[in-house]
Amino acid sequence: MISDSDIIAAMTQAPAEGIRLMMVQYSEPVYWHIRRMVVDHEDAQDATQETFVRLFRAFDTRRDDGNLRCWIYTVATHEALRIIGRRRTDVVSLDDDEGEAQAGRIADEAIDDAAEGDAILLRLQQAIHRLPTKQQLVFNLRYYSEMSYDEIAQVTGIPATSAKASFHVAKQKITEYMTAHEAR
Amino acid sequence: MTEFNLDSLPKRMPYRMPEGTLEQIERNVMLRIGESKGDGRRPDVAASPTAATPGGARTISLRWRRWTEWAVSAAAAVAAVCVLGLRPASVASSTEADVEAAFANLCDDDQDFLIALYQDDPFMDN
Repeated sequence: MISDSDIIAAMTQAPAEGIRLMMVQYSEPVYWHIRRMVVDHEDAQDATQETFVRLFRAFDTRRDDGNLRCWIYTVATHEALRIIGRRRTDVVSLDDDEGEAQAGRIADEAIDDAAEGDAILLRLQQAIHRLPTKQQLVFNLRYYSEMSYDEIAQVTGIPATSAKASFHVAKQKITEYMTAHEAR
Repeated sequence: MTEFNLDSLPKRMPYRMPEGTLEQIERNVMLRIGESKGDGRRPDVAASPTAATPGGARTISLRWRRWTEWAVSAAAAVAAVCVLGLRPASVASSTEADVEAAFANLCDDDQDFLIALYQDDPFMDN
């Protein structure tokens, strides 16, 4: 287990070694954090790569009192949102429906040899992607990344109380969607 | 109707990460940071010889100037549209596309500068 203070010390003394340690510790959670939002593997891989390049270059501008994990997730979130924003621009120009496109992406990315139980996990992803982007983000950070509301506030820039409210609204909407679709 | 219970589900994803993905990410990142900075080190502004010289200071102020000029031009264009009451349907999407294109045209240092400036604002694109 590599601690954040080990990574910060390495980034300060030997940046190339520091970023390598940061990737050992964080590349997998960052990849999944991004992939939950963008769905597509290649987009997630590109955005993860870009995240670590940005983290390396911007390390000196990081606030010393900030939480390293939160800073990493903030940059990763920005990269994921950049991809989503670019898609929306493309969709506007193509006059297509982004909701349908995202549903198609989720189906395409499903594990080919998915077990029976994975169908419900796919439906959960569809429920999450029906939420507004900010609620999706808050839900994912709380549910999957198991962040505190204070950490979510640091990553998203919204107050911790709003993050808490957002999570509960998101959870309620997901529960309603899943209940309605389970009954069919 | 039984209410769905989120806590009853495992927290795994129904997608697969192809084998070797993380290794490929690490390789590509190391390659990119090595290419852009020679020995792989970040430029240290405080220790950089250029930053300590008048030329170094000029580099930073020119970057600021370029950014502020760009921001002022964009604000002036938006103000003009508001004042003249012109609201063509394509304004929102073409402005986003212009910003994307303008950002892509910036050099790495300028892109990094803007990213550093806005890194705490994940919703700026949304």
